[in-house]
Amino acid sequence: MNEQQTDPLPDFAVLSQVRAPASLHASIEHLIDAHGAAPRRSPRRRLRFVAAPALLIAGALALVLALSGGSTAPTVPRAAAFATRPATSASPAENPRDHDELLSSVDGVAYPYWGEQRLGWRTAGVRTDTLGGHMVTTVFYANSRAQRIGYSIVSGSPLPAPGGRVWNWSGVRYHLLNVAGTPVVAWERQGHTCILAGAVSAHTLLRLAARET
Amino acid sequence: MSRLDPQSLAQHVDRLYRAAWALSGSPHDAEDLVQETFARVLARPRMLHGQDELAYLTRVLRNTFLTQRRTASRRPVISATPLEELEPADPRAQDRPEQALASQEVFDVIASLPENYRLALVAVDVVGLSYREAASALKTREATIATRVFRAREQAARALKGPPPSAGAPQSLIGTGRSRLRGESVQVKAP
Repeated sequence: MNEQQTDPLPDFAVLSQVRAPASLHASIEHLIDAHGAAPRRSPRRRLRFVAAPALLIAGALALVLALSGGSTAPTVPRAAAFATRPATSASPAENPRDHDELLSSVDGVAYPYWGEQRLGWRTAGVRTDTLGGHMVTTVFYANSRAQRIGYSIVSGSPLPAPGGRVWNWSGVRYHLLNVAGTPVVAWERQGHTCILAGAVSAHTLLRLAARET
Repeated sequence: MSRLDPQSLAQHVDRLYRAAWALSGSPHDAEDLVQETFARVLARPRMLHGQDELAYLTRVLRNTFLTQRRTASRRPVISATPLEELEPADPRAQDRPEQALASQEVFDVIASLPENYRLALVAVDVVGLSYREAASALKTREATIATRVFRAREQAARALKGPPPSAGAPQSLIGTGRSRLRGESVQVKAP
């Protein structure tokens, strides 16, 4: 019996209309461009290359900043670059009075606690940078898959709206950007620009960001 | 043997995304899965051993899916804001809600199939591989693929069509395609 000709065939035609989100296309195209242009590496160097994705992302973001004219004007893409750099100090502890927060804040805006037993993102250090007169404090989080994201809060007045795709949720506008292949979500909390960035899907970033509103 | 050309891979993103959605049952998990698949493939130069590049990508997608699922089963279940409330899976679907619902139902049905059937159906009917290519991608025999695809289509067709409601059966027991597919002991007659 030729099953291919006689078996029941459900109508799957509707699936052919489904397209991947634009953000996914952009991420893949960036991955392809980055790897297609990369020079050949020795196996040893290649191992190092695979083991240090965070450095790669930081480099790519730094390149974007360098190519954007060398201006020091504070923008969300510039601030997002800090979220991909190494931590420089130890992680803040969980707030014993509020288990949704850490004992770290910027102008009263606290960083969230997404610890191991709750969302699976433990804190992984902090760094502080300056950008055009603003202090940008970034708390890093890592999960069990060794993925790392940075949550930056910018001191002072909010940075200019960065554009990108916008989602409205509970009265908050989330801007989803793709900066050198790295998904970045920016929004405002209590008049401060907050930025989540890292080598995870845009969906993951949006889901985490939306918990803070 | 030929070398995989990274620049030619972008054309497969939509197809891989549909396959990932059908495997995982979630458009958001599908995004993660496709991104991870491409990251793996692009991490180093790849040689195609007589395989078409789409079949090769399907194989990596399958391996990534199985690895991620094993890893996820060892992690505690997390809860978070359902993104479905925040963002439509495909923002363009807002313009054609009926079609979006239909495709969601088909993805749900496929995602509920037994794993071997699901993998075979996705490779052949969603990605569009031949039985031979699917057998190569899934590391099994062509005859096995043919049998699994037959069974998978049979179950999917029944789930999408739905059983005729019996006179005495409450409507709530009829359920969705997803729940109907869980009863693998149901005997299905060949059409």
